[in-house]
Amino acid sequence: MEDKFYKTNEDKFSWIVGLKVRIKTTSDEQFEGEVFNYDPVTTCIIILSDESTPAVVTQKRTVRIILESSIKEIKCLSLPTNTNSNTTTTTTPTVTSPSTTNKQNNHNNHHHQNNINNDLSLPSLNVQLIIKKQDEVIKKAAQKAMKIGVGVTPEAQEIFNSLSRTLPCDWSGENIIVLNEVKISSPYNIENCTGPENCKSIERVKKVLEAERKKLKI
Amino acid sequence: MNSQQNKLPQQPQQPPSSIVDDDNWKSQLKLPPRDERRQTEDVTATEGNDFDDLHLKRDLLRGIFEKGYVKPSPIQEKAIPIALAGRDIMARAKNGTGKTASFLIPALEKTDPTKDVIQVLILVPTRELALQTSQVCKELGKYMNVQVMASTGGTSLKDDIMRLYNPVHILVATPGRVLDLAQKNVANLSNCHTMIMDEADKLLSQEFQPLVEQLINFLPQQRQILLFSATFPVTVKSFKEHYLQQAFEINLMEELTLKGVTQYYAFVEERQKIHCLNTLFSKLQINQSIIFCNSVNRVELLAKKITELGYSCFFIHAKMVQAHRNRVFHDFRNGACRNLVSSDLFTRGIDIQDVNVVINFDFPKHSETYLHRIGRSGRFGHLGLAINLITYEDRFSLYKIEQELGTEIKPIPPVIDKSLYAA
Repeated sequence: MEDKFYKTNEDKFSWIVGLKVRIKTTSDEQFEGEVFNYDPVTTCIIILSDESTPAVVTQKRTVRIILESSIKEIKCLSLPTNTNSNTTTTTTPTVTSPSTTNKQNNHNNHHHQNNINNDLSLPSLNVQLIIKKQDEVIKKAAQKAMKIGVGVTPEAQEIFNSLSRTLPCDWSGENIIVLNEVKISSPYNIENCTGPENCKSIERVKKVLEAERKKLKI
Repeated sequence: MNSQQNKLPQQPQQPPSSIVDDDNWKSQLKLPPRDERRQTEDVTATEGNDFDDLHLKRDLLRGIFEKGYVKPSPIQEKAIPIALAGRDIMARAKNGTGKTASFLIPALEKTDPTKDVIQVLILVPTRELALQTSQVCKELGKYMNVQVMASTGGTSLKDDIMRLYNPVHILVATPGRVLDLAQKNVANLSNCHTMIMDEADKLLSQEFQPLVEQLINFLPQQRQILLFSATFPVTVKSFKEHYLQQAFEINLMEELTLKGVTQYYAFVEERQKIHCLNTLFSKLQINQSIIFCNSVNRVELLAKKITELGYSCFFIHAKMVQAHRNRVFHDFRNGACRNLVSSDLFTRGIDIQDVNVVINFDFPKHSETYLHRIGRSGRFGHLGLAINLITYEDRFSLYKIEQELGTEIKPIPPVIDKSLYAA
C-alpha cells in the first residue's frame, strides 16, 4: 500500500471505526461485528460482536482484538449507526453495550484530510459497575468450587449435582445437606435421609432424590 | 400431533416403572401456537431445567404445556422446588418474568382435590389481579379437578357465600373480602396449609397489613407463607420476623428495570401533551398501549380527548363501578381496543402480552409507581417501549427515579427503531 496516501500511520484505519464488518483471518476464522477501535501502536483492530440470537435478546458483547497483519479479508456489512449518546441525565452508563460516536457517514472519503477531525471519543465506563461485576463473577466461581465434594465417590458427586439443579445443596464432609436442614448420608438412598423434628422438607427431598437417582439409573 | 384418543392398551407383562416413564402423553397435548418473539435474559438465564425436571404431577404438566409455557423462567426454576419443599419464601423478581406461575404451580401441585376444604389462599391487592390470577390458575389446573374461586370486594357478598357452599380448593382474594368471609365463618381457613401473597409489598402497606395479620390468625399453626414482589420495603422485615419461619430468600433483582423495555422521555409543556400524544400515536407501531395519568379526573378527560382525536381507547380507574372495571379489563385483554387510559389501579401484576407501549402521560412521583407502570410492557422477556412526557415540574422526579432505579431514561429520538419494541 502506497504511503503517500496517509499523513501518519494513525490515519490508516481510523475511518473504519463504527463500521459493521465481517473479517476473515489468515487462519480462515471468520468474525462479524462493529469496529470499536483501531490502535495504531499495536496495529490491532477491536471488534464488538453482538451475542443476541434469533430467540434471545441480550446486551452482552464479545470483544475481539485482531492483529492487522492476521486479517486476510475484510468486508463492510453496513455503515456506522449514528449512536447518539448525548443524554442530559445519564447516571449509569452501561458497560455491556458501549457505543462509539462516529459522525463519519461516508467511508469512501478516506482520502480527505478531514478524517483527522472525526469524533472518535470513547464511551465512558462506570468503574463501580465493573468492579461489582468482577466481584459477582468471583463469588460465583467460589460457590461453584464449594459444590465439589472432597473425598467422595464420582457417583456421590453425580447425585449431588443432580439434586442441586433444583434444590440448594451443600457438602458437609461426605454428607449432602439439602436446604440447610436435611442430611443425606452415604450411600445416598432415601433411607439415608434424616432431618430435624417437624422437618417439612424431608418428604419432598426424598421424592426428588428418588426421582433423580432413577434418572441417573443408579 | 395425534388428535385421536389413541390410548395404548394396558399390557400386564410391562413392569410398572415403564408406565411411569411413558412419554407418549406428550404427543397428545393440544399445544397453542408457539410464541416466536425474541426474549431477553430476564426469562432465559436459567440453569437449564425444564418443567419435567421439577418433578410435577403429569396432569399439572399437561396444564402447563397446554397453557403455552415452554421452559421455566429463572424465578420459576428457583421458587417452585423450594415452595414444594414446604419452606416459607420471600421472592423478588422483575415484573413480567413469571412470578404468577412460580406460586400457582406449587399451589396446584400441593392441592388434594379429594379433600373438599380450602387448602391454598392467594392474596392479591386488586380485584383485576384476583380475576387474572384465578383464571391462570384454572387454566393450569384444568386436568386436576381443582376448584378455584375468586373473591373480591365490589361484588355481591351473597354470591360469594353461595359459592362457598360448594367445594373450593384454592381461593384467590383481596384481603378485605376474605377476612369478611372468614369472620362470618363462611370461609373456613383452618385447613389452609399455604398462604401466598402476590405483590406482597402492597399487601404489607398500611392499607392492607392489618387485614393480612388478622387473616393469618385463621390459618392453622403449621402453614407455609410465600411472598412475591418486585420490590420489598422495610416494613416486610418485621412481618418476616413475626410470621415467617426460616424464610428462604430468592432475589433476582440485581437490576430493577426490565432488560427488554427501552425508556425515553420527551420534554414538553403541559398544554403540548395532547399534541405530543397524537404524534406518538401516528408514528409508533403500537400493538396495544397503556397510557397512565395521575388522577381519576385526568384519566376521563384524556380518554375523551383521545376519542376526539379519532383513536379508539378504553379507560379504567378505581372509582368506576366494579362491573364496568371487569368489562373493560376483559375486553382490553382480548384486544377489543388498542389503547387504554388508566390510573395506577392498573399497574400491579396486570399481564397483557400484547401491550408493547406504555406512555406516562403524567409522570409518576415515585420510583415504585414508575417501575410497576413500565412493567406493563415487555411481558415475559419480550421487548417494550416506555415513553415519559416530562414537564418542567417533573424534572426532579425524573432525576430521582433514574437514580433510585439505577436505570437510564434517554431523550426520545426523532425516529424509534421498531426492532426495539415491535415483534
